[in-house]
Amino acid sequence: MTALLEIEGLRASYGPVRALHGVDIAVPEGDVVAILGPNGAGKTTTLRALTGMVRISGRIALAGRSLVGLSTSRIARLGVAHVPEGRGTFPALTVEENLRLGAYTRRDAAGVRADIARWYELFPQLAQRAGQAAGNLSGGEQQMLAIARALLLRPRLLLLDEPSLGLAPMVTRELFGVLGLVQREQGTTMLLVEQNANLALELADHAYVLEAGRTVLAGPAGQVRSDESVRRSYLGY
Amino acid sequence: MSLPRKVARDQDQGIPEGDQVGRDGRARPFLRIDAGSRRHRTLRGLALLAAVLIAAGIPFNSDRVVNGQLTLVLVYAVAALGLNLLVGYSGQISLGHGAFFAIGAYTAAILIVRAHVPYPLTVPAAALLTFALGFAFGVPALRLRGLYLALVTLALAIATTPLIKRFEGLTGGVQGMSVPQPTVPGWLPVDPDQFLYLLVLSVAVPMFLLAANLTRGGLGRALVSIRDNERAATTMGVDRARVKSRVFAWSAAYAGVAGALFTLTLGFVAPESFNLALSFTFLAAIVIGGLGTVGGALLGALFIEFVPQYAERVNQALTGVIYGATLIAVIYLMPGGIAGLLRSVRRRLVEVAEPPPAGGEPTGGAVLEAGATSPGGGRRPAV
Amino acid sequence: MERFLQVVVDGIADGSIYGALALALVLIFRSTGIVNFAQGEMAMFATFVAWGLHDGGRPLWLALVAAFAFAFLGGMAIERLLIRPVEGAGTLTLVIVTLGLFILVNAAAGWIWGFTNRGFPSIFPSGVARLGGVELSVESLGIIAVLLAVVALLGLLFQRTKLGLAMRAAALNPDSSRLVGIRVGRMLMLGWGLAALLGALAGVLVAPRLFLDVNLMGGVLVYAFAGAALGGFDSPLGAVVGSWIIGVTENLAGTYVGAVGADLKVLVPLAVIFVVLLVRPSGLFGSPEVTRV
Repeated sequence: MTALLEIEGLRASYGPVRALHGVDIAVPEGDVVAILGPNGAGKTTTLRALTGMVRISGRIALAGRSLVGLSTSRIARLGVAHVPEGRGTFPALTVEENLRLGAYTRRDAAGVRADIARWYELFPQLAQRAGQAAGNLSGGEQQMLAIARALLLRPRLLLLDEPSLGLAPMVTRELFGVLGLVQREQGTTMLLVEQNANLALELADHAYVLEAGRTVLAGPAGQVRSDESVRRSYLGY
Repeated sequence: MSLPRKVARDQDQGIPEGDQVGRDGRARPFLRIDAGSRRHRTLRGLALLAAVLIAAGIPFNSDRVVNGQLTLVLVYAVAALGLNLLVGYSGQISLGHGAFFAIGAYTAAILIVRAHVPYPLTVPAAALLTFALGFAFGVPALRLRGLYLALVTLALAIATTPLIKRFEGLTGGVQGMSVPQPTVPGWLPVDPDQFLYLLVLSVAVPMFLLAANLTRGGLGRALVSIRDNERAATTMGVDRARVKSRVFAWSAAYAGVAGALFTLTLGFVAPESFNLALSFTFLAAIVIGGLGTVGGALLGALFIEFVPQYAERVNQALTGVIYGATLIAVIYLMPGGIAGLLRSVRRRLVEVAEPPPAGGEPTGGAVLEAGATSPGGGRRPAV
Repeated sequence: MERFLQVVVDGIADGSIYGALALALVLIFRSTGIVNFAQGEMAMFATFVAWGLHDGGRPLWLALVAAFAFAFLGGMAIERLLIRPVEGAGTLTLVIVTLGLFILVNAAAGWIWGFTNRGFPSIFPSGVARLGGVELSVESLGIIAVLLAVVALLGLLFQRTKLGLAMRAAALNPDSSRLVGIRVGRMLMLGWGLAALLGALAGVLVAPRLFLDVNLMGGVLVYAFAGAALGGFDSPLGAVVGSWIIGVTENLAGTYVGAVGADLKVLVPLAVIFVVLLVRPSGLFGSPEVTRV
């Protein structure tokens, strides 16, 4: 069975600096795949490669269709939603406008309205601030907004870059709770880059560990979790 | 256009020349000289001397009309030089150069006509006045972002003609003023037109040398550091605002000198000569001639003096079409202007090699031959 | 008092014309980050197109519609062909390109249509209307009404439609916009097309009042710059309000201040530009970040 997302031999460079040296990742449909690893391992670069922001060579296929060389907006229109490190929100626009923009590629106005209402239920803080500029939100609220914005696309694949970065533990838990809920309800395929290995491995079905631009470990989440080196380096025990 | 070669060639010491117009193929130059070496300086000095001698000899071999035109070319070249200091080297935009040119022109005219000042004094007087005004204007204006600076200077340029007309008592208003021209001293066996030419040349040459010096000395280095990285420059103690204002002042002074020379050359000033089109023309001159190069000022001046003469015979509108189209074409196709084009030709014959990275002394010719300020800001337009 | 009201209304009418062009400038500034120095000349060219069609026998409304369409497409083409390739290349490059465009379009118009003055028909009936005992020219009232309608339509477009939201998003955060599937380049093209359309509108509104020649919009551009500077270059509301203030001030100065003759009227907007940019560059309604080096 072919995976929804297949990455083979991915090499990426920033100018003369090679960031990825041949990464292989497969994301089965409906599953959550976590990418772990230290800073500078190339985790973010992998996601950016997927959305056409970096020069790459290798193979990237979404349901068999190559994504290499496509523009970022084209890839988004193919159903890939990316929540980047900077969150990708529009600080000068209101929360509501941000959400509506998330659904830009959709044609079903009624469905969009229903979805937005659902997100206001899941994240009451967003509902309260619907008319405020997104830039005024707290870090946690912005992250919620970013995720809601991405999921409003009703994506086939959701890419999350370090959602827990800079957030308090409680907020992070809440966030991951919602992610888990959405994943169960809608079966969204997710590729998650995370420093917080614990939370990531709880949510994920499979995991890859990246170091210095290469995959050093891959397997089902439970297996990766009980791996010695992983436990020591990333789980703290 | 070939891409810059990053790979060091055979015996090269290290830094490639780094300009955006690379050489294609492996054509070897006929001559290689090390920058700053005695050979280099001797050759440059000789080339300069030859150029000055040739320039001085021209008026004796051509007629009155051509001499007049060439004199104007020198005048415009001085003005263009000033604008190039500001725009090409310093990266600031000024659409108001014509205003300072006008101030210089009218200063000379008023001093001669109303105060009976001998003409040689009017040029330094114009320079001082425009320097001061340029500095005064520059201090507040240069805090603004490029676009806003462009607007403020644009406003200055547009205001010039009406203001000249307004102060009729001083400036002679719409009709302008007739200004007695310099007379040939008895002991000099030259015609008036030749004398004017040599007079202007004798001012222009030092102005060119001064410009070359300014760009190579402390001011020039400060400018380069500002242009390349403003924040770093500040931390290194370069007072951005003061440096930029000084450049603006120098640029205005050049315009003022050129303006005074303009008055002496034509013997007449009128407000309509100093309208907005003049400022645009100066900008066109330096872009087409070559931003950030000293020679570009002269090339640009030749362009703006002679192209309209021929274009106007075909169609009144042709001059504008040529200016506009050439401006855009230069930006897209040869951001280094005509000077850049000539330089790439020269490179095939004579290569001036940079020394290995010691202190990063700028090489001969204009400091920014590398064309880093040329429009394109480091990125080639993808045409 | 009557006279005063007339002058004020005329000032608002003039200001509305400047405002249409100022809106064009602001639109482009917000989307592309530059000031298009050629905006006025593009408008003049479109106005000439309208004149040419009308002079050739077409009814005025048809000539205008065709000219507006021409302007819209022309604006899009200019963005795509002339501006897009140098978009990231720095302010200096863009200023020079738009200046080159200014010179080129101005000369091209002269080449095609010559340099003599022409008349241009007004779309409003001549005559005056009496409002509360004051006589106001129908044309002035018409111009104000047109501008208000344009502002309302633009407001609707940008605040209430998906397309308008996408255009705003593309201008504010091109990167985030791509992530939601917006074709940023296309939005920029639309912005330029719309701006050119607004410019053409300003052109056909002002042409009946002055003479139609290649220098028609030169003066208007200065006033529009002043209005946009006063209002704040990134504020459409500011562009309109600023332009009204300029228009009213200029008319009042011209009427009541003896020293300001016809020739010197242009010093009013110039002085405004000076003072505003040197004292408060963000204008009345603009945001401060856009101005400091």
